[in-house]
Amino acid sequence: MDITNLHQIVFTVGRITPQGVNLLGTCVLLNKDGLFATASHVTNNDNTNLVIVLSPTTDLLQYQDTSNNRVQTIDASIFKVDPVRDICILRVTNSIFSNITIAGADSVKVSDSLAIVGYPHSNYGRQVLTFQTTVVGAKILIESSGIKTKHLVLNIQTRPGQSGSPIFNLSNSQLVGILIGSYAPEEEGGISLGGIDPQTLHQTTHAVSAEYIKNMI
Amino acid sequence: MEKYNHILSKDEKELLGVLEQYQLDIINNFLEQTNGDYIESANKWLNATPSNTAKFGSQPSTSKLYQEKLLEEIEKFLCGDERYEEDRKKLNNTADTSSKFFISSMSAAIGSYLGVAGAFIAPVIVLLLISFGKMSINAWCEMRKSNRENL
Repeated sequence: MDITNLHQIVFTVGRITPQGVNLLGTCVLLNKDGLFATASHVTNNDNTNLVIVLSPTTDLLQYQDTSNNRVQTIDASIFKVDPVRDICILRVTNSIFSNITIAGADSVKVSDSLAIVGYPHSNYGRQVLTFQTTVVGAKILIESSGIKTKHLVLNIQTRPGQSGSPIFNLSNSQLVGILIGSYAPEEEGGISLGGIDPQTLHQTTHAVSAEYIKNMI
Repeated sequence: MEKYNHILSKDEKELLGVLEQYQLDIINNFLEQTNGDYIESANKWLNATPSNTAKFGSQPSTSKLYQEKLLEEIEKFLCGDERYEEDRKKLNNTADTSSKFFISSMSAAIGSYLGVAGAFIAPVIVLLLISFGKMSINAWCEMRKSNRENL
């Protein structure tokens, strides 16, 4: 997989506040004009002051300067939401698009190699584009409001800030999923140690099949 | 207010027809699960979340949006509350009288007040409007007022 231009299609989603830009998660530029995909919980379905954050220092072929906090932003708005699949399509008025091919979980099998491209720890303001490789550990159905949705289990630990990260098939660079989070038996009522939920410290990451994006754009 | 009577006179199929296909597929599934219960289906949309998954966004989930709160805002919008005066004026001054435009405008206005995207609440607004049954806006507003007074 060619990583040369990934910093031109994978960005952080942010919200402008009086204190500056809060980074909310990761998004990917789609192959339709001005549209990005992320997880709907990244935005909390709230349009207020949403932006796509452009950093000059996220080129994977270079050293990313973590002390450089200067960013540019593009105003974004929520275009489509699928709360069952936890997918949100963001729209900007700029005429930009990528050439990625959207496939889905059906196009990969257990043991296939994948790439996760996103911004781990962006909840702390860290904006380092990170490329991880893993394999499909399982293909599962996850229920939401009585509807079962195709997901991939990725055999790797991921962290807050990576929600919305695109998952690519390493063999052909097709988009096969969007990272949602990790397995947790109960999301509410757990404990947090230094902002970390111990229930999420394992290698069972969930990504929703990208095929549902095709129905939304 | 009478201007909006045409919206409540639409049948279920016509009102659901304003939704995007992906939204319609989900709503039809909910209606099938609930034996056609519009309110329960609206709640399913509002409360949908993948089970057993810790989400890796940066912000904590905000408090849930309840259909009763949406219903209150729909009432304010349809029954003449000043909060939505400017939105109603814009709606009245447009040549587009389609249900799709009406739902889209109302969703955007209410969503803006509640801090949620219109695209998220539009299917819920459609379901709630269908649940009113075919009655005039005036009659519905009177019914809501009367219900409140009898509480």
